[in-house]
Amino acid sequence: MVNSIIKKIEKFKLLLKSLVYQGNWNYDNMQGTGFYYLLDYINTKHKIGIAKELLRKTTGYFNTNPFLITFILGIWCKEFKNNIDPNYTRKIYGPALSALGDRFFWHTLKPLTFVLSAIIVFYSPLLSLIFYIVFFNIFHFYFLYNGFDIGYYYGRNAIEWFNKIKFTKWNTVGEVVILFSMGIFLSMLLKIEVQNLNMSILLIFAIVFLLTLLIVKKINISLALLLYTTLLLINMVIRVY
Amino acid sequence: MQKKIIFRVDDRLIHGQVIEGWIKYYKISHIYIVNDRIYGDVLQELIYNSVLPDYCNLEIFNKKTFRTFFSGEIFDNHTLVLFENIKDLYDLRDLITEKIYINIGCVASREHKIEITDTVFLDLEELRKLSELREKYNIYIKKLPWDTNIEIKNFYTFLKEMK
Repeated sequence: MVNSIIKKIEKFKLLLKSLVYQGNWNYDNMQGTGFYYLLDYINTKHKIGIAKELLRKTTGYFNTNPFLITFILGIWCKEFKNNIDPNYTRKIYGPALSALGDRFFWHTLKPLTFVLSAIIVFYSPLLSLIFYIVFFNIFHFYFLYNGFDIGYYYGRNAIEWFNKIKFTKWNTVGEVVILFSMGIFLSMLLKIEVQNLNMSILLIFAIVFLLTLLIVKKINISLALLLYTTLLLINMVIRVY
Repeated sequence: MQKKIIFRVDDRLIHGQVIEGWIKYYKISHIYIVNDRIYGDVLQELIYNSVLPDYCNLEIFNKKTFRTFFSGEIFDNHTLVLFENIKDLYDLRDLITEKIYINIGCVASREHKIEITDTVFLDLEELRKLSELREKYNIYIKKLPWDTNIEIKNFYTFLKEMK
């Protein structure tokens, strides 16, 4: 557990401010202005003593995943405290956390949340909507809220924390869960589509799906979706004729 | 894509678009970063290795070591070679063959640079070098594999006009 160096209420305010972090995104400096905006807030609140000139330099070209921005702010402040050029570390961590964040938030968490919500729709559309908002934002807010402390605690070695929680593995696990959930979702669709469905058909679907995974040796959502849809159509054609 | 070796200029080197775009799309298993500054930087190597998928193998070279390595290397799988700037690519131009697909991803805006596209900003020297390379090879601006290739043409005319 990482001890907090800023008050909880201020961590919460930083989280709220980070939600508008990309408000001035542009092709010239990308998220540079947003970074300045957040760093200026920390500097003012905690009297870190960042000189105006150095602070101004942070408006320069910068881009990362917005959900992991508070980590970089923490790293930046730690590097500044240790008299190491903080903008150099920022330059390294910006693209690196962009890679980690994009992969997890956009390509794993978002489709996972979507599929799970789609399943819940069968029971309650309202619950599905609530689930979508809550489930996605649990991760989103957790990272934004705790990022500064973790970044500050680990400093330039913050990547160790991501390795410690096996963050890249989350994507692998997430993809499996997405596929499994997609299977459930399509099976439920199938059940609605075809009355008095024989459960053995679903079993065949699952076996074929697993075999496909073995053959291609790679999890592929599009392939799985295509497979299920094809089987669904075959099943319907058989039933019609 | 027939060409298995991709040379890409992107000042962010490894980032979200590279991992979710290029690596995934072409199932790239080998990535080489060619950069004199990063070569030997243990922290950066650790960070880049940590963010890559398990099936990707990363090696970092400086221009000198890459020249020796690349000359004798045979590539079976799709391979991505990342350069931070046009100059590095230009310095290794003798390694470029018709088998290599060259693209420019992102070169950030700096003072005195000219906007070529929304993500590529070059100064006159970079433009000159790129034009020279373009005379011999096809080079495109492309953020993601499924984007349309943006042609780099008539830069020489532009450079003459600038004079």
